[in-house]
Amino acid sequence: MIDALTFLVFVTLFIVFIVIGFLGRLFRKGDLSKIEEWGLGGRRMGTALVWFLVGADLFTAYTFIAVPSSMFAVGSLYYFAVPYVSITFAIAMLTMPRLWRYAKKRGYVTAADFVKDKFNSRNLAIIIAVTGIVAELPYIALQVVGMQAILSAMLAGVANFALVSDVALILAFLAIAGFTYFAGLRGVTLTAVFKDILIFTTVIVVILAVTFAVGGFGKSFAAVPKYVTLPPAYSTAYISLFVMSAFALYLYPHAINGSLSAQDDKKLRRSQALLPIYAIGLAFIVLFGVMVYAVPHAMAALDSVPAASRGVLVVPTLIASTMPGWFTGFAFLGIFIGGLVPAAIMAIAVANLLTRNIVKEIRPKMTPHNETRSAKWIAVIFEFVALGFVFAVPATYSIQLQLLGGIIILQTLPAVFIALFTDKLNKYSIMTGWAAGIITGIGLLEYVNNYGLLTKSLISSPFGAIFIGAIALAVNLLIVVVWSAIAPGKASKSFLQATKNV
Amino acid sequence: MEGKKVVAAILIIIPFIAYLALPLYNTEFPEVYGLPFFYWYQIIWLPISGVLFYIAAVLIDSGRKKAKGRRSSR
Repeated sequence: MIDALTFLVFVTLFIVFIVIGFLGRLFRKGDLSKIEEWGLGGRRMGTALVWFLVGADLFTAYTFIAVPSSMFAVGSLYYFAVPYVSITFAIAMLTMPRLWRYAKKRGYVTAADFVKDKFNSRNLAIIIAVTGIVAELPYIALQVVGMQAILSAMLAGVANFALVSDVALILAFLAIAGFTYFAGLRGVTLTAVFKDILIFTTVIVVILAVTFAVGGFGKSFAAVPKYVTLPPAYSTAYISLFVMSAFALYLYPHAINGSLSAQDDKKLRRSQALLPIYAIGLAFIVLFGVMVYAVPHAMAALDSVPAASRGVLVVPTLIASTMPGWFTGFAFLGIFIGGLVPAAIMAIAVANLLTRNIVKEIRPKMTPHNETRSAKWIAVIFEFVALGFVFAVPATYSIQLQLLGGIIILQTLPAVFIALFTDKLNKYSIMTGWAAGIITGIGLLEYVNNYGLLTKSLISSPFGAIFIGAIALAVNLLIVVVWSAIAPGKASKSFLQATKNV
Repeated sequence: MEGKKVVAAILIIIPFIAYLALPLYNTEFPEVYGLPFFYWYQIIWLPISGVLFYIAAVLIDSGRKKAKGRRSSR
């Protein structure tokens, strides 16, 4: 139910959210004109805070809206999100603490800093930074798409709906730009905790309320019997999707940025190890896409909107049609800021990369003070670029770019993950492998989509349909491994010297 | 220290195997509250993964501490 109370709860909680964001400035106080303080929270986040900060990227507005809607429309294939959020944290706990130790010792803020230092190669670092930025942009844009879905569910029937929705989004972004600028990662971390309290409560309450109201999941699955299991033809697709997504997550700048803000490597490792528990909520959110089939008035409401926009409305409609108005306001605000908080984390990560690994390469004499000022402004500008992007182009393009982003970010795996564990990689093999992986990935993606709109990321193979990212990464790895075995590279001397006991 | 590393590696690999064994869990029954086995099996493995990973994390860090101590006393 949407009523005045829904709006009241939504707006009140939004004000609380903004206040918390600005107060973040005072939390574990530091000199915010230093990039480590602004962009990494002074590397002082304990186990619980890193848990929330990194976990915040799991429960984004986009996951909340898009994964259940794919589950609703396509079915069990999209449940790959569940195994993905288990094993991605095994990869994180094995790689991130080591990167953290190098970062602490050598003052890195980004993964590209590590690549530059280890390979003594400015060019390779720029390649890694650009790949990260390009992959991250559509991710930010999709948060806006998720937030729009909430606004359209809430404002349906209001006069000048489109205008009101756009104004609301601009106001929300002004607020978050303000506290990104003034409080940096500290503000974002505190709001991440607030957001997760809202989201967790929503998930638990909605799951319990709907399952008891309709008497279990049986009725939902009876409405869509083919969703009961995974069609065997999709086995390879399922496994390749969850394994590749698991490797991709910690190559994204926002995940690395969150990890580097940890207080020490042990706390980081433990917080990552525990994140699969946090992900239980995600598993239930995905099931919202099936549960909605058992709620007749939610289905009726969905039938009344055009098929193209039905998907994104699955979760908002399920909540609004089963919960009292005040709770709908509470849940909607949770999802809404579930878009803002990750967007801010991502903008900070992009700003760190762009400032340190691109702007600073062009203007090496930049003072630390100017470096931080530049990062603050880039973060703010990026937030508005993402917002403008969503206003300017249809949501389907953002989704396509996101698909592409997942494939290209995987191509940084040798330079970032493998280089953590060996000194033998040849930097030219990494550049060549990267280029070959990107060409293969984009080429195959265009091919399976007949050079038109990108909607599919699977390609048929002798083992059944498989995720294109897996093939692109295989090509990349083959080049890196064979080349580096024949002509091993050398890690830079200063890096080896300094990290001998790390 | 090596023993601890091996145990940690095994603990980390267990959830991978559990999720890669897709044909074994891709079935409808037994259901729980109407939820097919395919779905709840994968949910159950989330908390199990978390516990196994956590134990592995503690083992890895205690192994590291000793190795480091040995290195610096040399």
